[in-house]
Amino acid sequence: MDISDILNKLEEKKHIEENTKYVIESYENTKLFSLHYELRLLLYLGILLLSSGLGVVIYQNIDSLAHSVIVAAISFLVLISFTLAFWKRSAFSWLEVKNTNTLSDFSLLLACLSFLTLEGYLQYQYQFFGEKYGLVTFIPAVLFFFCAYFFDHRGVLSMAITALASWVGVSIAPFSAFSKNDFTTSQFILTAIALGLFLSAIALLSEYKNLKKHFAFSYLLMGSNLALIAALTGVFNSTIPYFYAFVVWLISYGLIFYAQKKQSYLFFLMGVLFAYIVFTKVFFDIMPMNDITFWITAYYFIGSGIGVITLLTKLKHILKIKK
Amino acid sequence: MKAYQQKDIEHTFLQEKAENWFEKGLLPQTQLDAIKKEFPLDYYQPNFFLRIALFLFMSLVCTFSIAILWLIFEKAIQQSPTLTLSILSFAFGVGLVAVLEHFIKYQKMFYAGTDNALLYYGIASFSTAILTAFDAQHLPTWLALLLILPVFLIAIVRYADSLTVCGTYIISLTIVFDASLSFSAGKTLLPFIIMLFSFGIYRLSEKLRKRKDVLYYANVLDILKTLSLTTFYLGGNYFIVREGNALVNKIYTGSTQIAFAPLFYFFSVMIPILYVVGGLKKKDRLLLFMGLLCAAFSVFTYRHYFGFLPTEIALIISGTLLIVVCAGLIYYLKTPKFGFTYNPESERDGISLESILLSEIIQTKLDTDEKTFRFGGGTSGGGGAGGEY
Repeated sequence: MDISDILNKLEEKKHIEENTKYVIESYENTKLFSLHYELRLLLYLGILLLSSGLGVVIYQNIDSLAHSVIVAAISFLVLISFTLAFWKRSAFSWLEVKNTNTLSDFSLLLACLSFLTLEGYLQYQYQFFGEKYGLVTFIPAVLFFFCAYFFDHRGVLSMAITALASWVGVSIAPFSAFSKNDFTTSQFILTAIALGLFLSAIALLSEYKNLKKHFAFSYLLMGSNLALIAALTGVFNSTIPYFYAFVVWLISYGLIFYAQKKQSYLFFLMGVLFAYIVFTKVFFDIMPMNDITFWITAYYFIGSGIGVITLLTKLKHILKIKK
Repeated sequence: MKAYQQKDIEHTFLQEKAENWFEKGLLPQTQLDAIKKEFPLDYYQPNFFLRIALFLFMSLVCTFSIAILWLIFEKAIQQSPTLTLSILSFAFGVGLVAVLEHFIKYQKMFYAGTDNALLYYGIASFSTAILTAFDAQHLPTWLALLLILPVFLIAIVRYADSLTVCGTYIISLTIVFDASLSFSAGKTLLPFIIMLFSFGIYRLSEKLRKRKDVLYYANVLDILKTLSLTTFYLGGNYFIVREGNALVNKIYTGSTQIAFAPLFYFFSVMIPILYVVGGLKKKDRLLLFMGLLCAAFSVFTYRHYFGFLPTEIALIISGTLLIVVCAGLIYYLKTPKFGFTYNPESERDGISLESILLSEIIQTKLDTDEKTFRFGGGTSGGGGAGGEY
């Protein structure tokens, strides 16, 4: 089956007229071959190669270059890209801004990233902020939140949330949440849960008040993820695992409820997965160890696995998605 | 012969095309809706995250089913391991395939994660059954793999699954590799044998493309093509041949010069060029992309043995060169030349020049019969053909 088969079939069933068929056929035959992504990929590769080459050269000659030159160069980059982002910006709105300028988007991202570099460099080389380490994360958090709302940029919003979380004392990026944090002290766990719930609350609020409604997804995803992972850590290594199990179930229930309202697959899946993991953990904690444990384990996983599969395949009905 | 419905795959393809034509303003919304109704997608394939979750949970169920089987037949396995294991794996495989067929037929699963997991466990069970049955014979690797190859081939023909194709290709290549190493001339000729094998598979995939039911196997053929192009290049690449030769002859400290070296220099240079030129000539994106990748690997190969520039200088020079060439090409192809263009194929954001041009062409062609056509009536207006026509 190829294009002409399709067209013949459509014509036969009277979906298109002969004339349309002719137009589509000529379109398909004279269609241009787009080298858009290939050329872009090569261009990015070139930029990557050049910048890493320059980076190595700068690193090798760091003694002969004054630090002030480097600081000046990075500051210049920050300034230029902020100016560019500002110059090409779209008008501010509390709604989602459609078709933002690509140049503005990219320069904003570059500006924010190089701002972080500049700050890190200043602190490392000159101890610019002295002992006030909090400022190092607080300043970018404030700046990024402002930029995210002003320029309507979801990428910068994620960076802002991450900066906020590091200021509060935890690292929030989805995959480093497990590896980088010391969740063993209950103080950390509780802080992380509180921050996660706070971010989720902002998500609901922005949706309810219709202030940058499309930011709700990032807030809720990062917030609930943080709270759930923190609580899950509590379940596995703390003295009050059942309390944390209850917290996980509560948040999961909230997520599933939200998913049903918004017909969101992702949040439903997150809720189900975390609830399942904690349920399994609690189940095996309660179950006594004896010679039929093996059998129960095997039957538990088969039964629960089939249960979850059935639930997930019926998801369309549960979420009442029509299409 | 095929487990999934050919019509499901054809309808998917048809709807994709219709969407594309609608985006370009060649089909009005009403016709698109009518087409979607006439050729519905009547199967279950959830989004990516759900598919992964379904796959993992199905694997969990299968793994613990094996555990249950083990617990039940513990005594029998201890008494005569090979016989029991091979019968059990075979029976388990039959059971898995029965469930798989049921899922596909009655639950309309369509590469939904669950069916993928069942298929992989099924293939593994049958392979285990065969391998344990012949365990006592101590067969050479290539012969053992040759025995399980039919399982994979049947699975491909019936289920057309992407990962299975990858597995099959790797197994076949291992068979060729291991078989040629078993005689002395094979060691020297190994690169040529691998290149010949890859070329054969490539020709086969191109030939199979002419079949009428090719859509069912489209992903299979694409993967075969990608893999055969890759191994064809790697088989002739100087770095791979030289280091591989050292490994085969158990030289671990510094590889030595190989026989037919100039021939492999030639291959390393010519194959990427061949791919890129062929890709541009045939307008074959896969071939072009493979050519670019191979070219990058050839540059690495050259630098590994003959590099005289320090890395950072090489990086700066190649980076600058790439930027200049690409920027030049982007600028040059802003207006289409020789059937190539820099403009992206599907323009979801912004108005594409192409579609404006097209709607212009359409308009001139429509002058004769304007009443029956109403273009751009859609509200989502993806193609830039506004409501003027």
